Amino acid sequence: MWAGAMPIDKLVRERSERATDLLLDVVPMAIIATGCDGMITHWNQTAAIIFGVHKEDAVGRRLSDCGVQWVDRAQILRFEKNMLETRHASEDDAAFLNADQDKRLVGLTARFIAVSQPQTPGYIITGADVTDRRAMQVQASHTQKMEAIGQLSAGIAHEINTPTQYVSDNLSFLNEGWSSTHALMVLYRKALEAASESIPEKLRAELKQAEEKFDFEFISAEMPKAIEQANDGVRRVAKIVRAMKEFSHPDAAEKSTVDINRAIETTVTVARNEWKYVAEVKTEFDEKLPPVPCYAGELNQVILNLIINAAHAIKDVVRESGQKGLITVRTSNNEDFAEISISDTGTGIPEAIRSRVFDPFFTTKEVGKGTGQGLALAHSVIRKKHRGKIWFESEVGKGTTFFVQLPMHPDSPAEN
Amino acid sequence: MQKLLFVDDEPMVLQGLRRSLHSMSHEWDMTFVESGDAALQVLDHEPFDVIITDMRMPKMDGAQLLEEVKRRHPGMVRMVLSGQSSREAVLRSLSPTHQYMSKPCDPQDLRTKVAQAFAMRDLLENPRLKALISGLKSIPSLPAVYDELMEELQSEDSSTARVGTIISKDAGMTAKILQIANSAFLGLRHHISNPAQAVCMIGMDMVRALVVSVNVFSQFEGKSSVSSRWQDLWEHSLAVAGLAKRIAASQKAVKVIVEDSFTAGLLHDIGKIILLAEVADEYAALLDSLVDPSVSLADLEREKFGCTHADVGAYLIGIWGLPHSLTQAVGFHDRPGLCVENRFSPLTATHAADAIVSEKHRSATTQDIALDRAYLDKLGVAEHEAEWRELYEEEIKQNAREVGHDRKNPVC
Repeated sequence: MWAGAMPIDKLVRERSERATDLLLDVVPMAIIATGCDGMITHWNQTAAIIFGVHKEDAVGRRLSDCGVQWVDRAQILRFEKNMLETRHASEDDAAFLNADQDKRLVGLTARFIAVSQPQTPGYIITGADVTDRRAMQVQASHTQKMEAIGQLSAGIAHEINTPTQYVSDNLSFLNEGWSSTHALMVLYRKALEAASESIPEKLRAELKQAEEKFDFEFISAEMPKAIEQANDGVRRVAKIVRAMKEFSHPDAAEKSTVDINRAIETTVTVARNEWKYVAEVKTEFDEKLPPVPCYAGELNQVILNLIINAAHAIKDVVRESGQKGLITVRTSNNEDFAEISISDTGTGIPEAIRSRVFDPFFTTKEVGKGTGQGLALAHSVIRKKHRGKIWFESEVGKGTTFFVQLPMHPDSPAEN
Repeated sequence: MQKLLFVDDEPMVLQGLRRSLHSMSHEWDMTFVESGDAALQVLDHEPFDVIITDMRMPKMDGAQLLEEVKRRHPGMVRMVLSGQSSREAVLRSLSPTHQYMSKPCDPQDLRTKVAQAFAMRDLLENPRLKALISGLKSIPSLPAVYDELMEELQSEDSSTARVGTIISKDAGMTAKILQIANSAFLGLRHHISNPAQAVCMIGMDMVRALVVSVNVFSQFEGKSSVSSRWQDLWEHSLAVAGLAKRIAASQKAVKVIVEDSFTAGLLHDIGKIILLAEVADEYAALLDSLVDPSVSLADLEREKFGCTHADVGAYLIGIWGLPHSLTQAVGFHDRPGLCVENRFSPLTATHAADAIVSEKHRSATTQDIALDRAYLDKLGVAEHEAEWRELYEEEIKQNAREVGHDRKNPVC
């Protein structure tokens, strides 16, 4: 027999091992085997691709220390400890940086395998890249949240609009009432002056005292202003309520034609709290912009995200200089596209990370300040849902401008 | 004295309105009640001119109340003042409501709206016509245009622009779409008098829902004897619209006035359309008797109905809340001298266009209207008469070219 040099059982075993390796390599999941001590013995092809670490570099080391750039190493150490102590462990979202330095998420599960001939007992760790799924989940829950906010704000709007109606009616009455009362008072005073001789001394003294006490001049001067300012407040409340309702757009599920200039104004109003301490917002609208077919609610979200990002970029500059920055929102159009641009006088985006700003979960903000979803969401809404374009131009130290282009005829075959 | 009935389940709103409208109390006799039931009871005892109701109320809501009011007291003007402006709510209240205002509504705006609805009301003393016009849900369209619109709306690649173009060919559809676009639920700050723009602002989905499910448009279904008059009237209206627009443009009027002039021209004879649809036999007979050129159509109408077709049209445009310039143009198109305004307006363009078009094309539904030269003189535009007549020749030539090209045009 040609294979006589090798015992038959060993040959079979080697062949089956090779077959198993082959099988393990094509499974679209990282499969890692370790000994009872947690040292890696197997590292399949998918693991190498996901983590960007070669088999040779990983074998013989622990998962926490095998060359993978874990974002939170303590998390992996905890996972290993659990595995070795309780014989199984799982970690839903372990974050790491891949070969391109992109942040990805992997779901890890470890199991003890008691008898795994021909090898010694040990652990099998499986890892699935859940980045895209998580991004989709975040987007889906975001959409749900927006729907809930839409319904809620329609109800709240109704609740606020009713008192606003009677506050403004009463103010209008106070205004008219005061001006006639004032006119009457002026006449009375004139009459008093004319008849001053015939008024008893005591009454005259009382009158003088009362005028000083109530400060009639002050009341006369301030009353119209007080009413006007109260009116101004009511108008602002009404404006915000209207903006809130329009912004959340409960019927966003369908495409409709949207007055983009107005949508931007609404969004700027809604986001006021985000920018008012760090920047002025200037709008330069193309008044001839025709209504653009789009998903109103989602477009509002994109504009909101871009404005908030601009405000944050400026905030970092303002902290140093103490001077307010400027956010400029422009619209323009040609026959095929409507274009929105949002410029800030912020920090600018460093060259090194420019290629990644639209990646899901990519964020330069401190933990808790941003989810890293804003621009990814904007990218998917504009590119996928509207077949539009989104890009930016940036200069470090000067600022950034984001551009959004929406097709005017998204259904025409020319753009398919 | 006009009588107004306000209905709102929130007493504070009623009190606020009572105070803020106090300065109108020398013109308006106002009553305030807190429920639909109470409103109906009050109405059973005394007649009112206008009802203004909240939408969301316990037991009977605003839409139900207005439906009932429409049935029991058809001559009243029915308005909504609501803090709720979801599309569903608006759709539901569309059929019984003449105008939709949303809270918070500036007291001054409210006054203007009611005053404008009243502006033409005194012209119409015939209670039968008053009831008939207040009861109108839609104004029938020329069947060919109606079919064209349905086809466009149901086609897979229907476009906002095409729907707008189709609607702006028909007076009935144009009036209705402008009523909806000018209702407060869209939250627009400016009046809309351009039908194509109205379609854009309302949005295609909403327009489709309105036309297909709520049936806001309807088509003329009458005897064939009336139907030829109908076609005449349709062609006349479109010709006047086109010429009025050209005239306004030649006067270098601002864009709004140019566009309003087209719409005003299209709508100027909407009173005739209503009369032909609603009292067909009587009105057809009246038009048949129009042989003696010394007797004017307006006189005949006044004798028969107590008002003219211009009054009928203006009354409808007014209670539907269309821009005031349109009410004026429709109401005074055959006697512009009665209008107090002394500037070039859509009324001027419509009057001149109507006179020029009917002089050139006599038809069974129109009578020669003399150009009111004294009026044009007062505005200082009398010298343009010849130029305007030339514009009409151009218009005819251009239309002839377009008819040759556009097979979809319902004229052919």
